[in-house]
Amino acid sequence: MDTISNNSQNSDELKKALESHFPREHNQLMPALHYVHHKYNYLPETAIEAVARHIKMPLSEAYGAATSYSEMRLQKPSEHIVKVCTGLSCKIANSNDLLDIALGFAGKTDNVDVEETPCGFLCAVAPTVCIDGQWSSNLDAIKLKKTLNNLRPRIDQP
Amino acid sequence: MINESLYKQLQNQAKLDLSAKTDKYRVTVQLGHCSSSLGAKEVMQSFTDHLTSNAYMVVAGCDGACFNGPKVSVESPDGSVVNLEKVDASIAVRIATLIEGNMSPLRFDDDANEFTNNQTRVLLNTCGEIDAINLSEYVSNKGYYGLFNAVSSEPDKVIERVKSSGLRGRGGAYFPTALKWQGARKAKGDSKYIVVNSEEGEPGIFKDRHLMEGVPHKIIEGALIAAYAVGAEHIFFYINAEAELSYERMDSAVKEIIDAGILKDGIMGSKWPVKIEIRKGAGGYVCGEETTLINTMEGYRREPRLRPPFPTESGYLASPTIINNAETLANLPYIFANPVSNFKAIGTDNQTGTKLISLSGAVKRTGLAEVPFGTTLKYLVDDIGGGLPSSKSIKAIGIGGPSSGLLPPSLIDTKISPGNISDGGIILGAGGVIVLDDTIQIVESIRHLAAYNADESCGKCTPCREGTPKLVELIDKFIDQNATNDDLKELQNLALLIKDSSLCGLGQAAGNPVFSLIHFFNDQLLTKANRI
Repeated sequence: MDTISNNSQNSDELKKALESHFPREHNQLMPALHYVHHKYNYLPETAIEAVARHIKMPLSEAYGAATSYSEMRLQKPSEHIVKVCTGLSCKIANSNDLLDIALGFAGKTDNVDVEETPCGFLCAVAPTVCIDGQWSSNLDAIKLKKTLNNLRPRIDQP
Repeated sequence: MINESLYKQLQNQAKLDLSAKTDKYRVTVQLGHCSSSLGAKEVMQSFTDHLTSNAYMVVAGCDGACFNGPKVSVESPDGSVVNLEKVDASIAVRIATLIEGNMSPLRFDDDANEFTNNQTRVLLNTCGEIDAINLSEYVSNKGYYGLFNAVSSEPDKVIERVKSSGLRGRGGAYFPTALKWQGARKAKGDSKYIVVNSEEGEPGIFKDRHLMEGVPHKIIEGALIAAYAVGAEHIFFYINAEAELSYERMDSAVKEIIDAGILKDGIMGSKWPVKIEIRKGAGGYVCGEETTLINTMEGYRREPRLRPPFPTESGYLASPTIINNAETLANLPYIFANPVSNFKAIGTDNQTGTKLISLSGAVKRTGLAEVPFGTTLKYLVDDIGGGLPSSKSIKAIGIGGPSSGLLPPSLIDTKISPGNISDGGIILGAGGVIVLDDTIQIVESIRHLAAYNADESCGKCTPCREGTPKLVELIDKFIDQNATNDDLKELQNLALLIKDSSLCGLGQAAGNPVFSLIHFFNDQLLTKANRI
């Protein structure tokens, strides 16, 4: 994942990339935000500014749109992201237990974010958890613990 | 006059491509969103590493029997087929070893066959069998023949045929497809757009993903028929941002038809030009609502717009826009490749065709099933789902996701039909069915649906924004055994208020879980309320 800072080299690079990929049209906002989100794994404020400037729309409007979509992340995430599905099909398959395990694991580390998701669209093979983009289904506590332990927490290591 | 040679060329190419491989073992790995979460990628890798030169591998989408994934089928050069379920990487190595010795593996489980054999598979007929992104395989299964037929007649005739088929939108509103098309065809505008709605953000639904992953060309073919009929020069495929595999397969399939020249001289040589673009959604239940979807595409907040004007008159960039669900469009290749009477023979008199049902919960066999309208829930649960394990019984059936509610088991003979399928706010919606067993708490499950609606409210309309969290608070009072008679009245009144005064379909349906609770499970609610 690329990183971004306020230095001019970085913002010049992004500016050029936006210019080469996206026409300066209002309807390019979401494709451009997706591009940025894919590049940094979240939407850094400076990048939203760059997109707004490129598309020539007020920053407040770009920011308003960006914040209204649930899959757009506005904070830099930790190294690992664990998404636990808590939709109805997963819930009746005891996803709460998996959520507790994931939260417990994250509490002992400084590099894991745990997110709840209303549906992973894997209801037929519930419960399901996504770790760094890879979904695993028909999960149980033992399998989840094993996978999480492979993430090698930075602190609290034996 | 359309270019007949183009379609013949496609057929010839398909024959040529497929004949080159007939003397080999064909190993089909079903790789979709579901099966990759069960290890299908590792299975595929195993075959890539171990298959010998007497075999070749095909990557298909999943056939819907998710409970038995990952699935693999082996077709011998003599044409016999063996289906294998719950395959893992080490089983794949054993299969590859058998094939190396020119032997077919034996079948170990028949369960999946019952699951699929009890269905009526119009949309899913080749899903899981053919290479998902191989134009030749699609063409050799009558693919693009419907499009060829459609562009061989006048656009008005195409709309006429859709009208006589009785096709209705499968996204949840069940609006007659031909009527929508007619509106957009007549509407004035320099550009017209077709938007294929595959946002599919509703919890419990996974049908469009299966179609995009398994038979992307069916959706593309349907969209091209729509573009020709309506006179649209642009097609947008709008895909849920998290459905990465769907995006990948749709993108590859679009590239395939461009490379094959299907759009070179207009759609299938019809001189009617069309441009195709794929857009990603960005999360949120409301994004699938058609005016919200247009807002997203234009670069605005995810909020619905007032209707009228309807998108057919003024949609994307204020131009006439048709927004059709992917499942709706995937019906068109069949309607145009066969006599219309074939399609009309499926379902009931005024509810023609099939519906994809996303079946999950307590049944033994879960996955995506395709059944005719008029099928009972009992058939879905018992014949397709295989019933419940013997120690359990049904407490409720959740239908239509958070925009609908729970049905008691006494109504299991209810038939699936477009729109309302029973009293108490139960709608079919996009076709989600979750079977809840006797260990599940009804009031808590309704709370779950209501809380989802509160989380997903976009905030535009006050009754929905303020009312949906209040519904959850009221349900909590019952759960905490703190409710009074007034709370029961307020619960009902508030749900009605939200229904009557919200702008979009999502707000209007946000009270449905509560209606179903009061209508069918009043006793459960009252036992929770010690002050009533």
